[in-house]
Amino acid sequence: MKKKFALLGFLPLLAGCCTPTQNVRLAAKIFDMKFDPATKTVEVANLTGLRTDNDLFSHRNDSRTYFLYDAARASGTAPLFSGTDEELLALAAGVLKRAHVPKDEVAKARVLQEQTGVGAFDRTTHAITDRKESKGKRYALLTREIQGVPVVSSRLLLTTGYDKRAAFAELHWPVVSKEVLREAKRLQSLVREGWKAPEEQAARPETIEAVIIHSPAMATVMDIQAVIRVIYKPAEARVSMKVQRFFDANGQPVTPPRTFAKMPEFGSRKRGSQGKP
Amino acid sequence: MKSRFITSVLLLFVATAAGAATPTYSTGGVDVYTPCGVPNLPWRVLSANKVAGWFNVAGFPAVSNWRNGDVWGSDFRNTGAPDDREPGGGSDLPQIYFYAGHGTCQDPPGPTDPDYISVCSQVGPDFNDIGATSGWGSQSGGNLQFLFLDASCPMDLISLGNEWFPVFRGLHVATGHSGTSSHDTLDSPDRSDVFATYAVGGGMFDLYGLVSLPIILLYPPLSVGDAWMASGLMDVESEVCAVAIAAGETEADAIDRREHERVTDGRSDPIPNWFGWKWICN
Repeated sequence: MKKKFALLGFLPLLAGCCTPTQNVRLAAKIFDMKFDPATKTVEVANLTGLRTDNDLFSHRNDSRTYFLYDAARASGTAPLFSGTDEELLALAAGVLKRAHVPKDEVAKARVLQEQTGVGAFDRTTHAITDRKESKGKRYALLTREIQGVPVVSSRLLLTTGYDKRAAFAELHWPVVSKEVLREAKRLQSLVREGWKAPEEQAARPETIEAVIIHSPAMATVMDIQAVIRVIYKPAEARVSMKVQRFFDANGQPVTPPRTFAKMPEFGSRKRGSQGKP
Repeated sequence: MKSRFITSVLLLFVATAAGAATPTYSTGGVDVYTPCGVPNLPWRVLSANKVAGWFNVAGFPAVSNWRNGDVWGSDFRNTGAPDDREPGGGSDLPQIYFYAGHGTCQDPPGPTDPDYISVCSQVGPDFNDIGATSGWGSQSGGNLQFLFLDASCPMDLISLGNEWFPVFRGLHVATGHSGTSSHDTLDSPDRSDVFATYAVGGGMFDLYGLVSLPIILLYPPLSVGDAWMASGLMDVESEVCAVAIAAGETEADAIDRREHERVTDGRSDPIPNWFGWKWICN
């Protein structure tokens, strides 16, 4: 403990320095999250934000992407939000509005209900006794489309505490350029006109649609692309997981948007023959 | 190379000083399935690479990162030779194992139906019935504490008691999906790495990055269970559920681990008397 305390003394030298007031204001404006105005701003790669022992607010500088976390309120053992689903969705809609997300870009707004269970397990009989199941947290999930084109990588995911204050949020809703939207609409027309999906071995196309995809919320880059997305179903039931592929207008495969500008190294990916029977 | 080594040593020193754990990890990702007569999955290796990338950013030491045929069926079996402690890449060697590949769904599953990890490997059989062949953790001679499966239906809610609770032998928390062959997961390029990022969010120690400032510092530091609830429903069809299971010695311990345990907590291995589980459906 003493060691940890001593090392913490370096913090003022290492923490970021640049826009604490802006970040404190932004956290309050979008999520009604209060930080001490003296909280240091931390800047790392494409992120800037505020951290305390309990709270985190951060946002990307290359995308309309915000993260919020309040450890005490977000805990599954803390008192749960007791309002209606409509109230939770209204809180989520308020977050989008304050983040300047156009209202007409919300494709669907719904509430996901977490369920929890606990029980004693008898290893001999495999019997579960004292089993209790109950409702856990609720998540507001808002998905996106622009002028009828799904933007399948965007979302707002939000939970709140008992007091209706945000407990956890991922708002990932990057601005999409006119050019990308124009291309998505062109692809949409091609699909309507009968664009044929390339064949996939041992699977058959199930759905074909033009969509916009982009890098995930946690990424060091922001790629945004219009593609034709094809979902293939395995032809036989021996295995599952449906194949998802992205194509351009000519049926050429498109690589998904990147997460890392440069993939971190993590050693060999080739196993030797040692251990083989 | 030298500077990376020095940085790693410094990270380890600082993490130790702060009392945080730096778990070891392995990943297994399988894209190539057509030699086994089933469809390829183009983004499973990418997913495993990105998860390994984030674990690397967090400073976790890698044990193995095998892809395609190098992920053996035997890596997930607790008995036989080789088994899940095979020094080259068994799933019970590291403290965290992440798998991305096919599973096998029933439509609908019943309480005694198996859950599978389905590979296409050099050492078969490739279809691993988890409940019948697996066992993870220190009480089965291994090290595994966290098992993350991004596959189809490897954790059907209806069969948790038969398929999953018995395989916890020191294992702390496992995550996977429940579904059917008509309500299935999609091969997602992003689901797993969003999960991994939340699981390592905040960094491995609360020192605002003494050696460097890792980007994960500003991602929300979620528990394993919450990280999966927040990411497991990306790119899945309706009615698919993201499921997380935690073992505990007591009821309170199982609930606490289900809700709060993080991969960097360094908690001791639980005696699996109780289980806490949670799920969320699309």
